[in-house]
Amino acid sequence: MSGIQFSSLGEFLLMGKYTFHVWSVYFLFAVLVAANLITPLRQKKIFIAEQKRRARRDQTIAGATGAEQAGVKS
Amino acid sequence: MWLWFSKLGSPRWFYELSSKWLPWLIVIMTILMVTGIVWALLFVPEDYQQGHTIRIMYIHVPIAAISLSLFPLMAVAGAITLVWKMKLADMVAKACAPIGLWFTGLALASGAIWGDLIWGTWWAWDARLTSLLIQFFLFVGVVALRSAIESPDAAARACAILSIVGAINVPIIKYSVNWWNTLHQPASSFSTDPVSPNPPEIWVPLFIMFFAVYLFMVITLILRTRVEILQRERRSQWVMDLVAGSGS
Repeated sequence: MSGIQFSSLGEFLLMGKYTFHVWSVYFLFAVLVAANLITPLRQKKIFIAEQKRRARRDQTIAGATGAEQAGVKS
Repeated sequence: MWLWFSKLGSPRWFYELSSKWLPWLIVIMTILMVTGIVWALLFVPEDYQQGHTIRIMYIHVPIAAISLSLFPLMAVAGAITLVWKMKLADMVAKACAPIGLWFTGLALASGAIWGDLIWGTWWAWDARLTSLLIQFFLFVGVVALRSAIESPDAAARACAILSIVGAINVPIIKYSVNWWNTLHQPASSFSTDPVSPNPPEIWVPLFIMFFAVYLFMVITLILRTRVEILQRERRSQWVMDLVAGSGS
């Protein structure tokens, strides 16, 4: 393996005269990686929050119905 | 064999197995990707013609190659859905489409950026570029079709058929550089000889990036499939237990 190809950080950031071209590709790749990790993780979080809300709502309705039925019987 | 096939088709089994595998896959992928990117950006020698733009290759080539594998994968999952009505296969097919869209989009964008430097143009109606653009629109079509059809079964069937038909484009993309005289170069050969045009110091980091990006594709495919499993199996007891037991 060859050694580091740049003598300074400035030279590395410049990438010769191709600063925009090289870094824009790596930036777009970072966007792809981030988006494809964040999207499914966020969808899972939303799904779990929704299901928990639904379960709480169902419990409240079941509780109210139960109380109503008990009231009718007494 | 059949037992294994039917077990593999169980969404719950897949969910539980992937829970065990995911952390390991993420660790291996992160190590490979960090190594590959650092190597590509810092250690790969400047090309005598292309200068530092050779570093674009370490993103463009793996992304473009893997974007080509996503369409056949979606078509195979679609065929399994049509023939055996396996629910998990349709979930995988559904997860493939947006990932394929991302990968093909980046392959086109990074190719255009690189092409601007080495060809002097962002775009040319060359066979490789045009066939890859068709793949991009096919992925758009599959994603749009899935969201346009209300019935999940009808959407699964329609997407499976479009995927199988659209897979015809994959060998056209792959062999376009051999069949036609294109601006895009044909596939390169690699040698272990240090004085060859493509010595190991060029292709070893490329292979590392290829495996890293491939693993990344597998990880995001698993993550999307897992969300799909939860949504479709939300009335199953095991999903209700999982939701009840989760902290968030």
